[in-house]
Amino acid sequence: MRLDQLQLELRPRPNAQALDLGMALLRVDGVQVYLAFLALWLPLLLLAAAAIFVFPDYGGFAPLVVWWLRPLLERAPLYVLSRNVFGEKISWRQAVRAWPSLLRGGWFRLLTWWRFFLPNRGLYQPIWLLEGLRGKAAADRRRIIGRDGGQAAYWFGLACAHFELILQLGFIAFIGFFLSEEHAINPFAFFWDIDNNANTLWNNLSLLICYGVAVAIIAPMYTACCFTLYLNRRATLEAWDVELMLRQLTPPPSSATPSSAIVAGLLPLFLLGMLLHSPASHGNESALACEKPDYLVAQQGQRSEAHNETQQQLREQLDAVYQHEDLLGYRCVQTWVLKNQEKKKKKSKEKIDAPDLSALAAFLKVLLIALGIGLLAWLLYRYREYMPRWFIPERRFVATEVSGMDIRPESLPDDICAEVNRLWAAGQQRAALALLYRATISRLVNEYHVRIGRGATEQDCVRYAERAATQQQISADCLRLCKEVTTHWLNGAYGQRWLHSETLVALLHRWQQQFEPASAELGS
Amino acid sequence: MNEQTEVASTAVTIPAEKLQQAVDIVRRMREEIRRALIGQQAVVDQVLATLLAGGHVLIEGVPGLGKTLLVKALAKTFAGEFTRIQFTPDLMPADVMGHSIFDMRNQTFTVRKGPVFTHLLLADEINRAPAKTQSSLLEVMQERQVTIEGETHSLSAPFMVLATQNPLENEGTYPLPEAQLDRFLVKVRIDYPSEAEELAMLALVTGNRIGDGLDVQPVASLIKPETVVALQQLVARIRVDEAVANYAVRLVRATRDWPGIAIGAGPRGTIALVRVARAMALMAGRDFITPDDIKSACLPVLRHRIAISPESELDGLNTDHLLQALIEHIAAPRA
Repeated sequence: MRLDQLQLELRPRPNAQALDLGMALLRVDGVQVYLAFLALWLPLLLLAAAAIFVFPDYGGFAPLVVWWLRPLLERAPLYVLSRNVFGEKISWRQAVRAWPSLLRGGWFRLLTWWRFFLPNRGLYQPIWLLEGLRGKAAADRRRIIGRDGGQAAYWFGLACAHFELILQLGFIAFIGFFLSEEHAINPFAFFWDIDNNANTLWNNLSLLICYGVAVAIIAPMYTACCFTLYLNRRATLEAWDVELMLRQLTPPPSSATPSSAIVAGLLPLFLLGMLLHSPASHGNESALACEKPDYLVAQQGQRSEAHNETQQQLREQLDAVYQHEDLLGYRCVQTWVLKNQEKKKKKSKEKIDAPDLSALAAFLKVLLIALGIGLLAWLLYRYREYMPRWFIPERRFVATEVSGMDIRPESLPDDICAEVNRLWAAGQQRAALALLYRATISRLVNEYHVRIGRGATEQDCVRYAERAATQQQISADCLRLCKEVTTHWLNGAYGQRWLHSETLVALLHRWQQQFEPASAELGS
Repeated sequence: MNEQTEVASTAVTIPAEKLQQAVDIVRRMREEIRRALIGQQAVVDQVLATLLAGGHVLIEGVPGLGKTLLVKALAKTFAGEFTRIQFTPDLMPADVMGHSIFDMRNQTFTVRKGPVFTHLLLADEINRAPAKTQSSLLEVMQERQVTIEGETHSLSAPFMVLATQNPLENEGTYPLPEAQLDRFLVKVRIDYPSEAEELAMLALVTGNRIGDGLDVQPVASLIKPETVVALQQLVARIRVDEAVANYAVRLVRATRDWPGIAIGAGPRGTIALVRVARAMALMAGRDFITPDDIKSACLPVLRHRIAISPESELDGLNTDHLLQALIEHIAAPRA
């Protein structure tokens, strides 16, 4: 890199000035830069458009693909810019021809995980392209370059992305105005009409073209501005301005003999001057010939006469050096100031008697926080069914009614077997078996916590009981008894086939053994 | 708790040994069909229940899931005749029913009976035929007789039509009229077999065989067609308790004002529900039906008798979803 051939006036600048410098650079070399980018961008757009025609079902992915490949294309305009700043005029054709060789370094990173997270990639492109660094060296370099300029490039990249989006939406709206129905209010409606399947192909194509035009406008700007951010960062890090100045001090080789001693003598003075006038104190102004401040005039005082011609020459050279705006020791700053600022200040002082609203503000603050908490609580409650089960403990399911049967324990008589016997003896066989069946279901639900649905039929209840037995929620004997009671109930209720009294007695005995102890324990 | 009465006053108690005999026959028929048709057990049960109930089946499913095989195997179990008609747009009623032709030698008209004169008729892709051919077949299903040139010909018993509809292709089809759909006792949906079933099918088809078709060679003929008629008569005697009948009525009536259902099932739906439930009770070895039988019969019997509202359709619901919700909501009868 030959700094002496640099066409820019390099000095450490604020980031805003660095970005502005990028725009200035683009104004000078814009045609070649834009052509270099378009020469690659347009074929890519054409390919994507062809893909939309060939794969109309996947047309929505076309803008994504061109967006994905775009960082690699930005290297062509960067190549033009980077050569032009050093005085080497590069045409867009040369840039396009050189582009395949520019792809090395960082391409994998730019097409994979980096692609998503780094809007400031433009700041790092020169590290691969100009410095030719790879691997760990490139990573170290990126870390150093990005330490100060990274944030600016990041936000600038985000801003550019928004510019692109706005331009794209603008173009879409423009097209939409002409394509939408006569009385359509929303120009986007034409593109967003999902029922309009016939236009999907043209919609995708229009979206791609709008995106392509937006990028074609913004991308070279982004590249140029990121490049000048990069140059600015390097100028700050490596004191390019000092280096340039030193180079300017170096006389041409033909007259080197007498001046080498002078340069050797000047160097400590120059460095001393640099220490005294730190470049970090630069404002946002250009060099202006304004009057020297009084305190500097007072400090300098009157010079004595020069002893000889050499000293006189030396003084003249030093004065020439100090005429540089960085070494003047002062700087003229022009800013815009409101004319009526004084009046406003007065007015604000007059309004000091306004009522104290701090209490109201505090109240509103509490109210807003309470509303926020309330809204959050309501949302959690409203959508509680979507919460993961571990988040909200599952409520234990206890049915009170199964297929119209009241299965609450309090709805059953205290001594179920005695009541069944009584009904049986009274000739109410169906009622007796119904009570026994209801009590069985009640015990399963309330004591063994078997989950039984509200509309479950007899076979459903048996299935639930079988599942509970598989999960060892109830014993095999219990399951057998449930099945037996169900069968007797079904045979009697719907088949008019009643069991013998002896069988009932045995059944009740087993039922009592199975279910009554649990009930007694529950009662105690 | 009141004593319940039977709805079917004609129903008499079936002797236990006769019931057991019938249950055994049905069980063996299922097993034989299973030899040819792997998987699809619910479909087999529903078709068998429809045969026992003396009804007709509308089968819906993509081609290649064994519909023809099922019908052939079923026909073979009772040594019944089987014919298959591929419905096409140019199929005429006479092609199905038969027609009379003039015999030049005898100078008389002779009747040539159509493929409908059989025990089991597979009407493949019925929705491809024009309306008049469809309606003539539907009429035969109802009347069980065919009139050709003014002469009435009764169909042999048992007579069962299994009509298929291809749900994938709708172009150039004539969907069956909603009002005629209830001529079918049940509508069965055949889905793809499970992985294990497909593996078993693969082993059966590719095991030392030429070609790729499953056949009904291993299916044995167990009974005669007359026995099927006897089984149908037995099914008609299955006891229906009033509470269960009430349950069936409540279920069908609920379809008429259930949210999401535009048109509910008619009284024929209740009758069909009980008929199929009776057959299912016999298959379960009982001479009485329970609410579970009604519940099992509900989906195949009612799914083609109701029409869902456009809103429900837009919500991605189908008739089965709505009927399931309805079944869950209507409490089964209890004491």
